[in-house]
Amino acid sequence: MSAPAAERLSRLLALVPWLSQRSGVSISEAARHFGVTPGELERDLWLVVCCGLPGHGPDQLIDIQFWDDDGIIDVIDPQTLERPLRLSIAEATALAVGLRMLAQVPGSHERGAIASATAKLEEAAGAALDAGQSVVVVQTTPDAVRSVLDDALARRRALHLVYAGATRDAITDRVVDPRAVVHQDGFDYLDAWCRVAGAQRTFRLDRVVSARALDEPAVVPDDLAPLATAPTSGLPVRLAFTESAAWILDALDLVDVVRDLGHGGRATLRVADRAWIVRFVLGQGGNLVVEQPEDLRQEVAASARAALSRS
Amino acid sequence: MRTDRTERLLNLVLCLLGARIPVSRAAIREAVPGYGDSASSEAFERMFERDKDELRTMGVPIDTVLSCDGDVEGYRIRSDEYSMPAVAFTSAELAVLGLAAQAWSDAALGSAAQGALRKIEAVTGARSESLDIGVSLTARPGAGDHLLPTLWEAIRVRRVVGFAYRGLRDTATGERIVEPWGTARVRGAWYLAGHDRDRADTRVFRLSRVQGTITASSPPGEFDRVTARDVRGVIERLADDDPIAVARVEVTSGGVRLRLRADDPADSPLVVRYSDESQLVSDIAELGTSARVIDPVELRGQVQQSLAAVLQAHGGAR
Repeated sequence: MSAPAAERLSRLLALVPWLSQRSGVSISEAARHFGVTPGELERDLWLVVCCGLPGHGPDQLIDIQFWDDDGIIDVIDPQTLERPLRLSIAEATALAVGLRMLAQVPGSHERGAIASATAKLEEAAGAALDAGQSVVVVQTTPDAVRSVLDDALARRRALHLVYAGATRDAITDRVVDPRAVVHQDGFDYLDAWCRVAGAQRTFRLDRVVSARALDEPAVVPDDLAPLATAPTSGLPVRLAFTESAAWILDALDLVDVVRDLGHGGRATLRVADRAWIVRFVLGQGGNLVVEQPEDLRQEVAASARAALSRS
Repeated sequence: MRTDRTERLLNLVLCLLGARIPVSRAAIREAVPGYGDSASSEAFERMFERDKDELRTMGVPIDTVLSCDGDVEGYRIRSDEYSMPAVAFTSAELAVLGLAAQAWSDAALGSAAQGALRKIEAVTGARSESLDIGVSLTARPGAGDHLLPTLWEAIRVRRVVGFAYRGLRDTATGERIVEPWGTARVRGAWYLAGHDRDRADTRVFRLSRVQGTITASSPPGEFDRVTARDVRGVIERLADDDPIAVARVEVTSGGVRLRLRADDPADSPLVVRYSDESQLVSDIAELGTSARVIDPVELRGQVQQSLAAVLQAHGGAR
C-alpha cells in the first residue's frame, strides 16, 4: 500500500474545493495552508489540471489558472470536485476530542465559539462522530478552582492561591497575577506572575488547594515570555528500573531509554532539583536505582540508612 | 510515460463520482489513464482492486452495483455520500478548531486533525483568524495514542477487538478479547473501557500497556451500544477506590501529598485513610527521616522493608 499516494490524493481532494472558495489566493499562501513547499503545491496543480471526467476533452478537465513565480490561482472549473470528501472517523473524533479538552480548560473567553464550533462539527461529520460520543475526557482541575479562575481571568483580577507545590514539598499561600492557562498532558497549568517570588511561575491547577479572586486588578508585565514547558536542562541522572517501576516510562520525560522487556531497563532523566530525585527514589522500594552520578547514589543510600536507624 | 499513481486514483474518483449509471470495469479501464497501459487483463484487475481498496480505506464510498443475476454490473460514488455537508463556520469557530487540533502530537492523529481542518475550510469561505482566547493546548505523544483510530472505528461499528496486554499487576502479557465501549482520557493517559470476554467482567485498559497492535476480530454489531454516561461510570468506578484502613503518621517537615490526603493537613500526627497500601508506603518512605508511622504496626514494617530495599539497591549496608 503506497501511503504517499493516498496522502497526496487526500490533499488534492481538499485542495481543489478550498481553492474554489478562495479565488485569487497565491501559491505560497496555499502551500503554507496545506503544509507543503510552494514547489510541491505547483506540482500538485500541474497534476490536477491533467485530470478530469472520462473523455478527458478540454471541457472535461479540471481547469485551474495559475502563474509561476508565486502567482495567483483561479479555479475556472473544478468539475465534480466542488466539495471535499466527508470527514473520516479519526479526523472527526480527533477534532471533537480537542474541542472537548479546550472547553474544559479554565479561563477560556470563547466558550460560545467553542460550543457553536462543536455543534457545527457534529453536523459536518454526521455518522463519523458516533464513536466520539463514547470518548470521555476526565478533568483534573477541581470545579471550585475552575470557576474561580474563569471569573478571575474574565475580570482580570489578581488571585490568592493556596498551593501544594510538588518540587518544594510545602503548602504555601501567595498572590499571583494570572496570565493564561495551558493544558498539557492531561493537566491544566496557570501561567502567572507571582508577587511573592517576583517572577513568572507556573501552577498545576489540580495542586491548588484553594483559590480566591481578589478585588484588585491583575497586573502582568508586558514582556513576559510565553510559558516554557518540560525542562530539558538540569542534572542528567542515569536510572535503572525493575519491571514494577516501568510505569515511570509513562510518567516521566525520559531519554536514552534501554528497555529489557519483562526485566525493566535503564533511562536518563534531567533533574532540576536534587532533593526531589532523592525523595522520589526513596519512595520506590529499590525498584528505581540511581546509577550515576555516584555522589547522588551515595546520597540516596545515606538517606535510607538514616531513616532506618531512626525508627 | 507511466502515469503517476496519484493521478490514476484522482481520475478514478472523477470517473465514478456522480456517475448517473454504474461504470463497468471495461469502461473504467477505457476511461482512466494509467489502466490502458497495463499489458494484460490480470494486471489491470490487480491494479484496480488495489486502487479500490486504497480509496475505500481513505473513506471514499465506492458502491459496488450488482445486476439482477448477481454479477458485478459496475461501480459508482454517490455525491451525497461522498461530499461533506456545506456547513458554514465563522472565523472565530475556525480559530477555535485550529486550537483544538493542537491537542494532538501523535503523528497519525495530528495529521488527522489537520486534515479535518483543511476539509472544513474547503466548504466555508471564511478564513481562520488568529485568536487569543487565553487558553491553549499542548501535547506530547503518549504511548498508545496511535491505537485510538482503530478503537474508535471498532466502537462505532461495535466490533470485538483483540490485543496483547500487560496490566500493572499482571506478571505476564496475555491476549485480551474485549467488547470496546468507549475511550477515556484520565490525567493525560488514554484508557479503553469495555467488557473483557474471557474474564466475563467490565475492565479498563491503559493504552500505553497494550503491546503491539489492536485488531478487530468480529463482524460489526456484535454487542449493544453503550452510552457515554455508562463509559464515564465505568472509568470513575474503576479509577475510584474506597479507603480500607486508617494510619497515623508523624511528619516533621514536607509531606504535601500525605497532608492533602489526611483528614486535616495541619494535624499532628496526620490521620490518613487509605486503600492502596503500596502507594501510602511510597509516600511515607520518600520523606525519609521526616516521617514516622505510629500505627498500624504492619504499615511501619512495610515502610522499613521498603527503605531497606532502597538501601540495598544503592549498594549500602545497614
